[in-house]
Amino acid sequence: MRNDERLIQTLQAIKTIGYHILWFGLFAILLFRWFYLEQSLMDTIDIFILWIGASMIIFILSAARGIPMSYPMSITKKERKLMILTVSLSSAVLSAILVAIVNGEIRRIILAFGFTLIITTSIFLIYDGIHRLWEKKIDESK
Amino acid sequence: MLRNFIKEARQEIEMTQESLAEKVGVTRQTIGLIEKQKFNPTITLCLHISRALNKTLNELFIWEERKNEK
Repeated sequence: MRNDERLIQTLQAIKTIGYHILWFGLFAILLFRWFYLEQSLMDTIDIFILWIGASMIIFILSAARGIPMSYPMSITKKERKLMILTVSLSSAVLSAILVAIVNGEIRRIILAFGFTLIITTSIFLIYDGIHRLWEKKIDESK
Repeated sequence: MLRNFIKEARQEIEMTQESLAEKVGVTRQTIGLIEKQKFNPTITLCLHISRALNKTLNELFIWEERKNEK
């Protein structure tokens, strides 16, 4: 019974639901405290570390265990490069627009655009790098 | 979809769900759900079940195309 795969799968599914509730809950708390209560990052650092830590673990484990970046879609290498470029640029543009709405200063808009572009591209490249290492490991073990 | 004949094979040798469950190391409910085609077992569990029922995998499991499946 201890190895009953149905029970293991069901328990994993239940834990996943719990994880998602916590993840979105913490994110909602952060947004509420930042934008409604106008608290600073340092005021919410405990929740922020917990939230970003959980997100990073999911991110690294997904890449390290071979979940493709484009999951559930199957894409070619060329399409993957295009996806990284498109999503990074879109995020940067969105970030610049948000800053422009809140604070119209051109220097801040450019800063937000550049910062988001670098961070998003880096995240994608790190994911791609870890995923390639996983692929290499799998190929070598054949 | 994966269809199985575990219930028929089990009844053939007059084995209860409980004793099959005990033999393969799962709960009775899991065997019940597999027999009702509501849970797809892994290949490891399929092999354990086929061994316990003294049948081959081909005799116990078949792949059935759904009407809307290509």
